[in-house]
Amino acid sequence: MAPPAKPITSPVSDAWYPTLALLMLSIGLVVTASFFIYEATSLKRNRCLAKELITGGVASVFLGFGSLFLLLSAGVYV
Amino acid sequence: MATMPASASDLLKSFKLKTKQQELLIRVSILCLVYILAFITRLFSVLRYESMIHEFDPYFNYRTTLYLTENGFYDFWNWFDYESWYPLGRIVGGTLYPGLMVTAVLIYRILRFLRFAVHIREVCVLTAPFFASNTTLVAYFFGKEIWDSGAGLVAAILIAVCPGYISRSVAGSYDNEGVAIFALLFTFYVFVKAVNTGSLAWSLASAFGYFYMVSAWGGYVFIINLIPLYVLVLLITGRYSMRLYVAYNCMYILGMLLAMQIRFVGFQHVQSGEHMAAMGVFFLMQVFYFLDWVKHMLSDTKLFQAFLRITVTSAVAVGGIALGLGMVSGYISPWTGRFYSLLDPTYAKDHIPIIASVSEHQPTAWSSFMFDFHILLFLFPAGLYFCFKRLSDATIFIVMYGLTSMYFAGVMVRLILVATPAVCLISAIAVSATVKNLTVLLRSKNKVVQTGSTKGSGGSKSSSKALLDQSQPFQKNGAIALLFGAFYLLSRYATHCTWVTSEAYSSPSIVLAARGAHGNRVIFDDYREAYFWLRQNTPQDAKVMSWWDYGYQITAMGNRTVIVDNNTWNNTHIATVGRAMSSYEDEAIEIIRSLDVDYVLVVFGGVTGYSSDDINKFLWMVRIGGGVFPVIKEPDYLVNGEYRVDKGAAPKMLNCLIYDRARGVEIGNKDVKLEHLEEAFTTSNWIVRIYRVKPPNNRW
Repeated sequence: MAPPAKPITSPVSDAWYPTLALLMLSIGLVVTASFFIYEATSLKRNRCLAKELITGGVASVFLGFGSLFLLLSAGVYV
Repeated sequence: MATMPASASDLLKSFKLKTKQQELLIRVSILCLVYILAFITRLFSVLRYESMIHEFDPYFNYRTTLYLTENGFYDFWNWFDYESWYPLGRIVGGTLYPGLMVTAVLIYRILRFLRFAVHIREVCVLTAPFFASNTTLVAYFFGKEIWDSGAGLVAAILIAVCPGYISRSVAGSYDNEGVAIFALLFTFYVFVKAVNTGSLAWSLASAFGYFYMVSAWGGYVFIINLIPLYVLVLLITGRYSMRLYVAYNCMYILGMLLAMQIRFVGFQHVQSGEHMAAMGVFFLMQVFYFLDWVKHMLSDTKLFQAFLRITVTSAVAVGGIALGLGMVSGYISPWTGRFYSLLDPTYAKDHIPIIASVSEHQPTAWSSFMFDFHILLFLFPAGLYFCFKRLSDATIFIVMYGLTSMYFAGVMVRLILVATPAVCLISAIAVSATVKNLTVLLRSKNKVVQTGSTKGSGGSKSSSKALLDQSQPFQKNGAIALLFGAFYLLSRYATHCTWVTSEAYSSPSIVLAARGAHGNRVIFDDYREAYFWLRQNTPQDAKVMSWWDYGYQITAMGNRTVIVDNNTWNNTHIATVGRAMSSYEDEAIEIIRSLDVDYVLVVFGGVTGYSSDDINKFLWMVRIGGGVFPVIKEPDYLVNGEYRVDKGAAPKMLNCLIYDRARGVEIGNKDVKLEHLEEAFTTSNWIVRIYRVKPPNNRW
């Protein structure tokens, strides 16, 4: 017989879902805006690849987690 | 990698945005917010009731979309529907505009591919708001093309909430217009861009935009007449150029070839009188080009003048003879009734009662204009003034679009929808130009003092023509007051639009709501109750007769064959049903038996006070029936020229079939005895009543 199983819980308690969603989405949107502005208003020569990659990566991480928590707090348990 | 800033102030400075970047951020965030706003303001009925398809026509579109998802495109294109218009059937593949269904199925397939398990009904319900959001984006780019980016932003926000557009594109209104307005504006934008730049790529895009419009809606006739008219106006005002030549030729030829791929349209582009203007202007363009080339070749002016006169007269003569030959020989058909009634509004009432009976086809009242446009109504002439001050190829187009569409909106209520984008764009020009002038006033004198009264007109390209010379103190205060006034007006507009959307345009009209005796909200779901009863309790091949309003819903939800439905393509068939409804029971039963009908469905409003039931539509049944069968005479049913349904009604009225069925035992003729029909089902609020036809007796 297997030992009695513990109930599956999420590593983040569900009271935090809305707050986390809001926080991460806003940070993600701000970094996205900065990335977008950098791309749209700088000249081709002055661009720096490392800065682009870092900004894009940070923005996508935050936006991804933000939308995950948004869906969870809205009741869509993905 | 950016070098590490040496001090805190340097760090802060590296975060501060330059003006160009600020402007970009403001513009993009405004557009994103407008996109989201346009979507969510159309969701009232989904939040209040549930996600379902509204009205009558969308049910047919939904049924065809279901068929398309299940059977694929080729089966859909060749579909012959034997379940409607019994016993004639209907060639669905050749008599509809496939754009809407194909678009919805495409979105559905994409979402499925991304593993979002949506149902096709959800996609259908939300297609219209999605395309409304896309329309706001196109409006932004169009405004930017005509005037500047500030006007584009104002146009986007105006069209996002304008009630004239919302009325036909709420969530659940799965109808051609939802997609068609997007296609219309997109085609116009791309064509104006092509005329402005003269590039072949944009002309190709406009041809494909036109193809999408033809596949989506019968109103494409407006495009194929407005664009040639616009080209003609440009030619007359002396604005002929190579750009115009390239743009129109490419769009017309390629667009015409693409449009002929839709079977419903077929060869109309070369055969129908409504499309002849485009062809005429096409030939006129060739004449212009030829004359230009000859002028370039010849160096002698007098010879050229003579040549010009000869060519123009001969070209007009040849064109006139060709058109005359075409019309006389019948190859070119004259204008069809639907479009002819736009030019002569009294035509439909005398000749084609079906067109006259649709309430959307009536001329518009002033209150409708105010209801649908609010402040745009007086911003429209102001915008026209601004357009005339700065005439260019693009502003001439928008002026023409605005004026012609406003005329048609006055003729038919339904066409307010077509006028909405033009009115929004022109009003946006007025708002943007006024605000820009006012803020220039505010900023001009003291460059050091902060102004803080910009309203998002994002002007990095400020076209400040008039500099203020006098330094009158109250001019600045006047400008601030006017800006506050403009802001107040716009906020009232937004409030009005939201109120209108919530109250007037969000009812699904298949589920009714009313206030009960104690003020609580009562939901009448009678229609769906009746259709599901039909679906579950009648044999599979039963045939249902009802007035054509309900035909689509019966086939879609009840899944039974109907006699006539909303397509109204066969006037005689509808007149037969009208005759059956308005004759005595004995005559009616003969017609019913000849059509092989098993069930009759009527809508009855006596108990609930529902005002749009079959008795009120009855007069139209008489008129349409009388249009084909002279047996039915309208004066027989009236008393002193008035239409009454109570005890004082005319004798023929009291005894006819629909009176028996609909009003039953409530008023007037109380002792109605039905010989050949028996009651089969009545919904819980007595709104829909279904009667079964009794089989004939076995012996005399």
